[in-house]
Amino acid sequence: MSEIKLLSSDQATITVQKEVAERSILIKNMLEDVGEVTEAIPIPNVNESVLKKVIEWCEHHKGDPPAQADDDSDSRKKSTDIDEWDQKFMQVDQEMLFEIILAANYLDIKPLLDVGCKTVANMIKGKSPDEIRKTFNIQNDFTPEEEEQIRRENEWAEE
Amino acid sequence: MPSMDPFTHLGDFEIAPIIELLDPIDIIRLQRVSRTWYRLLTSEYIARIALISHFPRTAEAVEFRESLPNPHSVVLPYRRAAYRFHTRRLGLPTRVHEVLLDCSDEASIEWDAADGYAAWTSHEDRVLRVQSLEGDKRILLALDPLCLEGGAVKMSDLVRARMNVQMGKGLLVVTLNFYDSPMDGYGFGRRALILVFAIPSARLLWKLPILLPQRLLGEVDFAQDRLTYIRKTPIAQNRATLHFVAHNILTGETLLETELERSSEISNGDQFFVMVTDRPFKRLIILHEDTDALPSLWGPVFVRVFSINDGPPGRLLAKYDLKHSPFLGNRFGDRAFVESDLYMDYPPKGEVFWIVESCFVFIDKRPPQPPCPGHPAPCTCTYDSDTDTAVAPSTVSFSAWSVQPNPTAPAGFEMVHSIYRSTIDEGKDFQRRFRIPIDDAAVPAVPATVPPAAGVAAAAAVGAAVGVVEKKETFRDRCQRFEIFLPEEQCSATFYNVKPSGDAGAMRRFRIDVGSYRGAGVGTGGERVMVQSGRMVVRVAGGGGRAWRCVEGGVVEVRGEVFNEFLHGVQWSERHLALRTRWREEGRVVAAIVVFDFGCLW
Repeated sequence: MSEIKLLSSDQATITVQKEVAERSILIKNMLEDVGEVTEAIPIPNVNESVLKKVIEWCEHHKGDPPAQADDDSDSRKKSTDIDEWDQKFMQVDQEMLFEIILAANYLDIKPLLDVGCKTVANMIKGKSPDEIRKTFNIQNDFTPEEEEQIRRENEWAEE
Repeated sequence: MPSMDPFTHLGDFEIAPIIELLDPIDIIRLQRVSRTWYRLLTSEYIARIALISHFPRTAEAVEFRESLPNPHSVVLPYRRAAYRFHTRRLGLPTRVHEVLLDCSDEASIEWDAADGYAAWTSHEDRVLRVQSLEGDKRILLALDPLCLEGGAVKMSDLVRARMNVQMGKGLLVVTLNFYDSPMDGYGFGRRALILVFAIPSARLLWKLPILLPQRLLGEVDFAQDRLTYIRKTPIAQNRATLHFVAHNILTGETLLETELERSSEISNGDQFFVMVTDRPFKRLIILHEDTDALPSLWGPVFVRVFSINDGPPGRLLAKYDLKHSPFLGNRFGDRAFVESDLYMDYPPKGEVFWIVESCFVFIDKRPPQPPCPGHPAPCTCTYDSDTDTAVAPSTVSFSAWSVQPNPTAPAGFEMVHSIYRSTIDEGKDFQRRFRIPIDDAAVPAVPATVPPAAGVAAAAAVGAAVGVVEKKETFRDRCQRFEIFLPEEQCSATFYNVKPSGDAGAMRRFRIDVGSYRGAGVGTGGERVMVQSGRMVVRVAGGGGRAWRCVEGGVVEVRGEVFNEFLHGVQWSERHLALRTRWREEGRVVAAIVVFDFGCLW
C-alpha cells in the first residue's frame, strides 16, 4: 500500500495512505499531474490538528462508492440527515467544525463538505434569532429601533 | 468566549450549501440575528441561491433565469416566493375574494379567474361579464352580435353552443363550440368560434371561426404571445390529419400552421383530453385516450410530444403510455372508493409539463365494479393503477408525470413519474374536520370494537352501537374528499364536501386543507416518491361573505357545492386557489367564485 506525506500549514508532516489522501480531489489531481512524489505535499491552508481530523474522516470513508451523477437531486440536497459515524465525528467545538468545512472545500472533498454544512444547517434550522445568538455567541448589534423595524418587516414569517 | 459566527468564519462557497439546506423561511426570520446576518441574508447573492434552490420553477426563478446574462435583483422576488410558500403551508390566505355571479342559469356558467379579474358567461344568455376581484364594478357584453357579425355562425348555432372561458396575460379567450351531432365530441372535433378580448375593457381584439370541413380538437391554449389549437381536417373516409396552428394573440395573425407527424394515429375517434404548449413555445404535448383499444373506460392514455421549434415543426419527438385508469379501485377494505382524473399543469414559463392524476375518495359509496380488461363484467377484480401494493391502508397514492428537459436523454427530455402518497384518516378527514351537521351533532363517536359483555346489557349496548353505526354511515354517505395537486410547488389542496341532512342537493359546505409534500426517495419502479409532510386547514382572521365565512378557529367554510365536474369547478395556481360554488338561497340558486389568494400585497 503506497503512502504519501502531507505538510500542514504549521509545518507538521503527516504520512497517509495514497488511497485515503485521494478522497481529496485536489490531492488526487496533483498526484496524477506530478506522478510519484517522495517530498511532502504542502497543504498551506490547513493546520495539523484539522488535517488529522480530515484524514480521520477520509480513512473511515476510503471505501465509499463515488457519488452518482444524479446524486444532486432535490431530495438529497434538502435532506439534513447525517450518518451516525459522521454525527459523532462532527461533535467538535465550533471552531474546529468551521475549519473542517473550510479544509473540505479547499481539499475538494465534497462529501465531507456536505456533512459539515449539514451539521451547521442543523444548528441553525428552526431556531429563533435569540437561540442562534446563544448557539454561536453572536452579539445583537442592532439598536432596539432597528431590530423592531426588521421584526415588523418580517412579521409574516414569525408565525 | 469569542463569537463563533459561521457567517463570519466561512466563505461564500461554504455558506451557499448551508443556505440551500435551511428552511426558506429561516432565511427571512434570521435576518434579525445581527447586522452581519442581516447584510448576508438580504444580499443579492443569498437571494439568488435561495430562490434557485428552494423555488426553482416559480415565476420569479424563471424570470431571473430569463434575465441572464443581465440579471435583475431577486431580493424582493425571493421574499414574494417565500411568502407564498409560507402562507400556503400554514393555510393562511392573504385575502379571500368573492364574486357573486348573476347569470340567469347558474348551471351553465363557464368561468375563469386570473390577473385580479374574474370573467364568466353562461350558455343560457351568452352575456360576458368581467369584474375585478377587488371591486364590484362589472362590464357586461352581449356575445351574440359579435358572433353573428360576418355570418360565419347562425343564431341556431349559438343557442346550442357550449362555451369555454380562459384568462391570462391580460386577455380573455371565449371559445364557442358547435356540436352538430353527438359524434362531434372530443376526438371527432367540432365547429368553433374563438373570440379574444382585452381585459379589463372586454374589447374584442379578433375572432376566428373554424368551419367545416375543418374541426377544432380539444381546447385552445395560449403560450407567450400566441394562441394555439389543434385543427382536424378530413382527407378520406375515416382518415384525417391534424394541424397545429398558432396565432398572434393580440392581432390574430397566423404565425404557424404545421401538420403533426403520424397524426392519423390519433385523429380517428380517440378521446382528446388536453393539449398545451410549454411557455418557451418549444414543444407541444397532447394527452389522449385510445378508445379503439378497449370498448370500456379502461383505455390507455397516451402522451405525445411534438416539436414546435425544438426541431422541425410538427415532428413527433416521443410517445408515452401512462397506463392510467380513472378507477383507482377500492381501498381500505370495502369502505372507500377512489377515483381519479387527469389534468395538465405547467409553470408560467418553464419547459416542464405536468400530467397530474387527481384523487377523489368517496366513503362507503361502492358503485358497481368497473369491467377489467379481459374479464366480462361484472367481475370481482380490483385494480390499482399504481404498482405499489405495499401502501398502508390509510394511504392513498396517486401519480404525476413530468415531461422535463434532460440534455443527456436522446430526445433532449424525459418523462419522470412521481407518486404522491396522501394519508387519509377516516375520522379526521370525514368527521372532525367538519362541524357535524346539526341533526348529526348528537352522534357519538363509534367505538372501534364493542367490548365483550354478557346478558341484556350487552345486547342493548350492541343494539345502540348498531344504531350509531347506521347513523354514522348516513353521515359518511354524504362525505367526499377531493385532492388536487400543484406538483411544481409540491403542495395540494384537499376539499371535504358534506351535504347536510334533509337538503335536496344544492346546499353543501366545503372545508379546504392545504398540504405540503417532501421527497421520500425512489420507488421500486424508479419513480420519485413524495409523501405528505403536513396539511393545514385553510383559515383567515375573521370576516366572510355570502359565499364563504369563518367558523371556529378562523376556519374557512365555503358555502354550496362545487358544480358539475370537480376539476372544472376548481383552479389551483402558484398564487391562487379558486373555486366556483353554488347554493340555494330564498328559493333560488346563487352562484359565486371564491378566490383564496396566498400572494403578498407588496
